[in-house]
Amino acid sequence: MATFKESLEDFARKHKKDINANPVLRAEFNKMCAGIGVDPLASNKGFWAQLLGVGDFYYELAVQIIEICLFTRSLNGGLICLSDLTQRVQKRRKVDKISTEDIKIAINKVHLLGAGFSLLQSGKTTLVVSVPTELSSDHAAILQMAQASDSHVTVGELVQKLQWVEKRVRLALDLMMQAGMAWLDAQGADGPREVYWFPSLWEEGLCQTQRDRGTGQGGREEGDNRSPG
Amino acid sequence: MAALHTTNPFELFWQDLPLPPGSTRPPLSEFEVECLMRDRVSLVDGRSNRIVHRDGIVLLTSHRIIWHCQSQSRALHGHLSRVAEARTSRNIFKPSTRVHLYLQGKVQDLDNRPATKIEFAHGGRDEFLKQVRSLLMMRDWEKPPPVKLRLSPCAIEADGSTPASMPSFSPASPVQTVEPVFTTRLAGVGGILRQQETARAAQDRLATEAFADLEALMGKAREVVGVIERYATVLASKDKGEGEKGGSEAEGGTARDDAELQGLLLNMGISNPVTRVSAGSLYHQELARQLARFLAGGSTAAGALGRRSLLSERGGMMTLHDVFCLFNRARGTALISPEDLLDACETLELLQLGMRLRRFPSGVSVVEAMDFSEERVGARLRALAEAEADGSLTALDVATHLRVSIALAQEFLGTAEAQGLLCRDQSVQGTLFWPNRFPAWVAQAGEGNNGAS
Repeated sequence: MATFKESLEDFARKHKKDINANPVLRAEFNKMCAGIGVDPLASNKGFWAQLLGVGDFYYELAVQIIEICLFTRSLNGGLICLSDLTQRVQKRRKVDKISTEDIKIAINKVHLLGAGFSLLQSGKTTLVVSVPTELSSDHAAILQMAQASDSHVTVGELVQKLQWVEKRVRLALDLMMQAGMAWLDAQGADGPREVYWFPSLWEEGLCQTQRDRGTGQGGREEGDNRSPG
Repeated sequence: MAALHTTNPFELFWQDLPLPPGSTRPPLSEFEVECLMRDRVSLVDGRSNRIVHRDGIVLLTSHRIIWHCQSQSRALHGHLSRVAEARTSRNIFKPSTRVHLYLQGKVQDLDNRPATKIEFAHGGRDEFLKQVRSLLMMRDWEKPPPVKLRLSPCAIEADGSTPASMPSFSPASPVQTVEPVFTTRLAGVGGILRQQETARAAQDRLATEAFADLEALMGKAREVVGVIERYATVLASKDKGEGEKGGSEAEGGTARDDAELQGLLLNMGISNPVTRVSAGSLYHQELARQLARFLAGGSTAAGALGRRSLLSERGGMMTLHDVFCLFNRARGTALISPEDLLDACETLELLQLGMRLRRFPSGVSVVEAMDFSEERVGARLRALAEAEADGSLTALDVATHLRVSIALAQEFLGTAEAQGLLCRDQSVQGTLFWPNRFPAWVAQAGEGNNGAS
């Protein structure tokens, strides 16, 4: 099987044009690649791609980039480090050397498909965002956390409990601030730390506090102050 | 029409093709591949030179020429094996847009032999001719279906491990299903080993021969597919076995990536990707149809297994980037450009394919299922608000109920508000949306006034 695999990879690199020109062969070739787990997208960068950025090379790369983002989305919520992404793409493209520059060009190539897939500079690292806020469920997750802790959270808590990178937490919180769903208290009750409050959860938070008190766990100060009657 | 003793090539070649009920598309057989499609093509009787069927779509597959006309819901087909030669008119003084098909039969004077003709009045003749000629050379219909090579699972082990290390295969594995004539040479452990050795040798030979060059691969392609598909099945059953054992998390990483990639490739193969060459002027339309079928899961294995469609699995909405990736993946090596994808997506709504392109104010573009259309969402939100215990909705409520993001939920609420279905109540606690009762009150008040006067 190893011989098959190598030969297929070789063919995918060298004969792509001929394979595509013949629909019957193309169908069979794709079946082969699928069965054996060879990525049929392995065009050489070639002279023209290098010079003008034309040809399928960058489209292929874009497909592989988005694919990796899709696979890792459940772990990172659509935020991936450019260097990590480059390494993963490199693993797929066994022979060609893929640089972060190539990745950037490929991402620019699919810019036509709208916003929402973009590069984000965060300090020294560049992140690739593949989930636009319109489709992100991170905000819901944060609200859920807030619901469980008296309608407020801190960045540190979220990073710890959700196992997210800080950037991801901040991105989500920023949007909620902009939307007026979250309020920032720069001087939290327990000292100088930033506490995000969710006023829309107050009522529910209160009920929670009362229940907590009922079971003898004791409510927090904020909750007590607002408890009715 | 198809008289038994006719000598008219038109009637000899073209036969009625019954379309399955409710379908406008002729079904293809298992190994048939779509090669080319052109619209506004007419069928011409070669003897009388008269057009018999006007302005239909001609579909050239690896096996047949199919002509169908959606308005008449009628289809004809002719098998390529009956075609001896395809060419254009030899009369250089009379330029023609027709392709002449000469049928198999006694060798006669070529120019006086009757032909059946296909007219491409609106272009596409030369591409068609080129493709027909190449198909006549390949004679794909003569190739045997993928041979069940005598491969034991052990012989196609990826790492080439020894057969002795493979005790996990059930008696139903392929090595037992092939029943060679029994001799003592085949008996016992030695026999099995020998058999496996032969199979492995056959496979090595195939690998060397098939991948010698492109022509060789064309000839051996189906055999290779057979071997590889068997290998994939064995691998899948092995994976399943390991999964039941609990799997080794340590392997993780690349192995899991590879498995995912393979799963994706296997699940979503589009065997007949529409291309610019194959569909000509129908390109973006056909691409849109194929995309819709793909996203609705109709043509994929996932759809066939009754799972939810690709689009609904992702909340009825996918960014164009994700679509670009998954659709191109499924198309194998026949990539489409972002421009073409965008064009196809813009056609989706026009063709009433149950989904459409939607652009958010932020510049994000998505393909969404039509049940996210504004009227429907408005009505759903109102019903939702009325069903809530306190009678009002927040963006969070909507996000949880419709399983969408909060940003999207906010937009939905805004739309419903603009439609006059919901009313906004802004307070320190955030923004609540209530069912809009003002029109009802106004109407009631009006009635009251009328009653009083």
